[in-house]
Amino acid sequence: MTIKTPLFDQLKFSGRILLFAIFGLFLGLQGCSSRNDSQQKTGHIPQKQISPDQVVVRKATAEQILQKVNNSDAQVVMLNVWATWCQPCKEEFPDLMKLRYYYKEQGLELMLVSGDFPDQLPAVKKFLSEQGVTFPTYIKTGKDMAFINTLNPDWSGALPATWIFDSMGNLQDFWQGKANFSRMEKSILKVLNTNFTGGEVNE
Amino acid sequence: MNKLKFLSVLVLGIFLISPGVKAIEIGDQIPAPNQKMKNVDGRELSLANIRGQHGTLVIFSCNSCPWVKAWQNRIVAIGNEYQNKGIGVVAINSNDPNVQSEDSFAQMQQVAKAEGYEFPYVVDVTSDVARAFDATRTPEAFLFNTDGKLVYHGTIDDDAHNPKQVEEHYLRNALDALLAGKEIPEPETKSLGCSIKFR
Repeated sequence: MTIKTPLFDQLKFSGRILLFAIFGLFLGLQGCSSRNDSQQKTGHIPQKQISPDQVVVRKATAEQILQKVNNSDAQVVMLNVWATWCQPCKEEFPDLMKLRYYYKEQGLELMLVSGDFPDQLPAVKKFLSEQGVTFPTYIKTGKDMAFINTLNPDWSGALPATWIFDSMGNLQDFWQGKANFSRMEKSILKVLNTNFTGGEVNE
Repeated sequence: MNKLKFLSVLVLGIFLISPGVKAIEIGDQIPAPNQKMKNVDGRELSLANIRGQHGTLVIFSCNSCPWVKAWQNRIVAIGNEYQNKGIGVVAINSNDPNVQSEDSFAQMQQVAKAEGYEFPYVVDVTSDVARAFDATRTPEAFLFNTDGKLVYHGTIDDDAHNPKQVEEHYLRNALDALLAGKEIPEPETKSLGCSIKFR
């Protein structure tokens, strides 16, 4: 990155070092404050014990998933398509569970759909039990392309992929690839705040 | 302070979320044709070097993705077969081996040998070639005609899991149509796959 401003050019070497030091300090402080914030919500959450054979995983097509989104009485639905074979999916999974824990009362429903092959079902149940998933989840059935295009024509099929729907079942946000806690939280809050105030959120 | 927080979240978000979902479009020219990439045999190759007499097949692939592994035999069979029919074929690994250690250059050499690749398997050391293609997942195929224009973009076939249950051989159909001078029956297809681990 190069910084080109007349003021910057006029600064002598020591001045530039000082400028970078101040900038660095500023970044450092930012890092600390956001770490403190996230510690409040990304620490350990109580986890219910469930054995793999108690975990409920239902087969579903994309149409059935969208129907469940539409029939949900939640304020916001976060739909996540993941797979046991997908490392970034497994990495972001604990954050999905934390968001569900913190925002369930406010009306967040987490809908999980595994994109695993059907014979991976035991591995799916094992992973879900390790993550303390006590609510029913789904596993994709049918051909990939119809599944992908029905859920979102803009989705390339890369995993993980995440959808945020509002209380009316309208798609409010979508991303593919792993996201961090605050990225997901921001998207959920935007819908929750819009639902409650009936208007746009002020940043 | 709130604005600053918002900005830092935004910046973080931009870094963490995978790049745009819109890949290059049918009719577009081969992106990054002169970017040199190291092949498993040690040669430095560009897509311009790889172009074939009748077209060019570029497959974003890797060692670590289960979907690639499920399709591996079919990818190798298609690559070897159509290279002999005058299509330039290359598999490109754009994954960061710091994220997936299985994607190291040494392991690419092992995979290419063990699976019998007769076509180049190159490493995109900056992931910039994947960015230039707007490729997002593995495996993801791009087929270009003799003029270097994109004629097919998508997946291998419609059943990664079970080769016997394949109903639509999308990539083979596209290659056969290209060689026969016919229109590509289904120029854009999709499948589930692994996100490319961009550097």
